Amino acid sequence: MNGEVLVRGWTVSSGVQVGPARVVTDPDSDIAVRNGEILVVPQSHPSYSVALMRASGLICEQGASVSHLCTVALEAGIPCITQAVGALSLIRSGQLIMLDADKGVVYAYGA
Amino acid sequence: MPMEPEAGLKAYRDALTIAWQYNDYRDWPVRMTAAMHLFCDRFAAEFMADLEALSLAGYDDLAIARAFGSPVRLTRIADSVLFGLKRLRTTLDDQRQMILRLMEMAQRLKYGSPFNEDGRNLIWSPAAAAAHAAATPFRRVVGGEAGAVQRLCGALFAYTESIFFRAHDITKEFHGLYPLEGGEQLLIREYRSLRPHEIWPDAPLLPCSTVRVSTIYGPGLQLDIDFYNHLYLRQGNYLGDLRRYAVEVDGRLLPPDEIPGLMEQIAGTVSYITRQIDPAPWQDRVEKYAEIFWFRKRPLQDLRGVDWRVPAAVRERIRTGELFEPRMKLLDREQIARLIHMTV
Repeated sequence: MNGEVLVRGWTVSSGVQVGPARVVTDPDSDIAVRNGEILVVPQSHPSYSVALMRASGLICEQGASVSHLCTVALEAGIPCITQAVGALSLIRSGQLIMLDADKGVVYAYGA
Repeated sequence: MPMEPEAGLKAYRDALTIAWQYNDYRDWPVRMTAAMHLFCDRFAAEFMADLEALSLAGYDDLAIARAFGSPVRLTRIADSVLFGLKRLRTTLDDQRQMILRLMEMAQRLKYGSPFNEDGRNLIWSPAAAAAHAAATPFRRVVGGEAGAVQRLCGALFAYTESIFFRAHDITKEFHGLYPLEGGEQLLIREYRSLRPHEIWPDAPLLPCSTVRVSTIYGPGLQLDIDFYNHLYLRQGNYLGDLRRYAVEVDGRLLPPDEIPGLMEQIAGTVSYITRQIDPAPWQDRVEKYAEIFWFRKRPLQDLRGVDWRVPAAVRERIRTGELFEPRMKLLDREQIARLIHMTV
């Protein structure tokens, strides 16, 4: 079940996903995203696109809805929100979250 | 038919307003607006000279437009040329004439308006779209195929950014939505020039030059495409609405079991290029951008039969120049509106 609202953002690509968050802040690091994780990133960078292909959702802290990474998510049919202010500090890697991209809301899940 | 100047310029401003207001100028790998002054005047001067030389050589604008192959290449190159013309201090009238000429050239490659006012990018006529739908051996979506096809589309989009940065209009154009019988809608994703060895001589580029992904969605999907080829999903969902698809690689129909292999190759290229570019000094990144820009206008040089490569003087200017810090910041909507008003 969904719990408290962690962050809100703009809907880029609709859909609802539940999964563990994967917070990544360095595009040059080896981004070992596991299948089904929800990727949380600061902004668009092509390196994140590769990781995104294994993710079930995308939360961008900054960037416009037609930024490249958001468009990649849209094209891939992956639920995505952007302008999720505070996402990097409010969401922890491994935390179970629900991304409701239809409403542009991220919830803590199962707490 | 020539565009009525005032109406054409207004449509251009309106289209720019849509394309720029949702845009993101946290450019990878370098903020273009902060580097344009290092080469855009030379770029625009060559662009004008090329057009003039081709006209004198007897090429009409349709032949020149066809050399670019895709209307979005003309609509998206226009603001770069315009920026250069401003740096060259050409007259406002000359700048407007150039915009109108490029928009007219784009129009001649399309069935619909170059400005996509209604949110559709219609290159084909309704009859041509219906003929494509009838002739293409579409595969009906079963199981998780919608996810696999859409992830391939996402990966291809990422690939275009990694090889051409923000000038990815060189390589791709999405067109549609074309209405079909029964409320279905056809969307075509065309990718060309996928092996630019001239730009990336050592990169593990894809083994193919073209990919076309033809997709038929149900009536629930509402998607707008602006004149910069940005996508805006208004309603529905690609995964839920995808009904049939066909992926053609260099004209060969790609079986579904080959999609993961293609995606793996794409991921390899994206990772290789970002690892090359990210640690490079800004001068290298801007020089690479200049190479991409000259490659972008290469169709003109190829028609003329002259070398298309970046002049040594441009490379030298980048090496000895500076980024323009004030243009590093993001603009708000009001500033963008003012910029567009000042632009044309």
